[in-house]
Amino acid sequence: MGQKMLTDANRRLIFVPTLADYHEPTLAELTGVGVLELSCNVTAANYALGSTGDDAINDPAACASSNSTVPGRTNYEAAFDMFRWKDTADDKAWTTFTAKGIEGYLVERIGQIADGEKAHEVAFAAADEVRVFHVLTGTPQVLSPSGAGYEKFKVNFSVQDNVDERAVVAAA
Amino acid sequence: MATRTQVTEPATPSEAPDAVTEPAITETRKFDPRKLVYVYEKDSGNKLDRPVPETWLDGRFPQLSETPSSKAGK
Repeated sequence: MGQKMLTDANRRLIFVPTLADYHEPTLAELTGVGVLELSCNVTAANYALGSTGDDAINDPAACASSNSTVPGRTNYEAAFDMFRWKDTADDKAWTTFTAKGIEGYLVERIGQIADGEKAHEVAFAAADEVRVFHVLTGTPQVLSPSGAGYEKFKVNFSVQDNVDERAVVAAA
Repeated sequence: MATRTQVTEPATPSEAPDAVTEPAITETRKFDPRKLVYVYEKDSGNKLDRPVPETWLDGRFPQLSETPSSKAGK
């Protein structure tokens, strides 16, 4: 029996302003300073990125005796609780997602790291499989301070049509 | 009594006065998270469809540059 993949430090999530081809993001687009690293900025709790299901299309013929649905358009969600940081230099999520309607791409890699490695410390490599979501931000929501904890804010992203959950990183 | 001769020395080129070094202006630009600006990608020249917060121009996304305003100045 094979070894199941654990969730511990297994995902890397970044935000980039643009991608030339969301099916094949390039290494240059996913690395370097022009990338916002979100992996350690978002909480594991309330982490939501992906499909929530498909619309059911039910349009029977006149001769049909039963309803038989087919999957229609897919619905996606992308929402994260993000930490606030004391130092302005660290508080980049707060100063990047400042308002609604800000456009960009969320890129997430699951696994594809060696044992003992942390996903956010491992650079993207050519042929990595990544999930790519073209998004627009919603208005940032500062979360309630009730209970002890960190200051956080939440962003609900509106996922656009450019989604590829099995995109492949291109070398160039 | 000997008369004092007045010696007139040729004028020597005086050293140029020290150039006044003005302190460099170190004012750093403030980036307003509430202000939205249009930007383009430096490599491709493509303009992004939607405006971005001005804070994006503080160096976090060096691949972007502010699009010059199309409005005429006064």
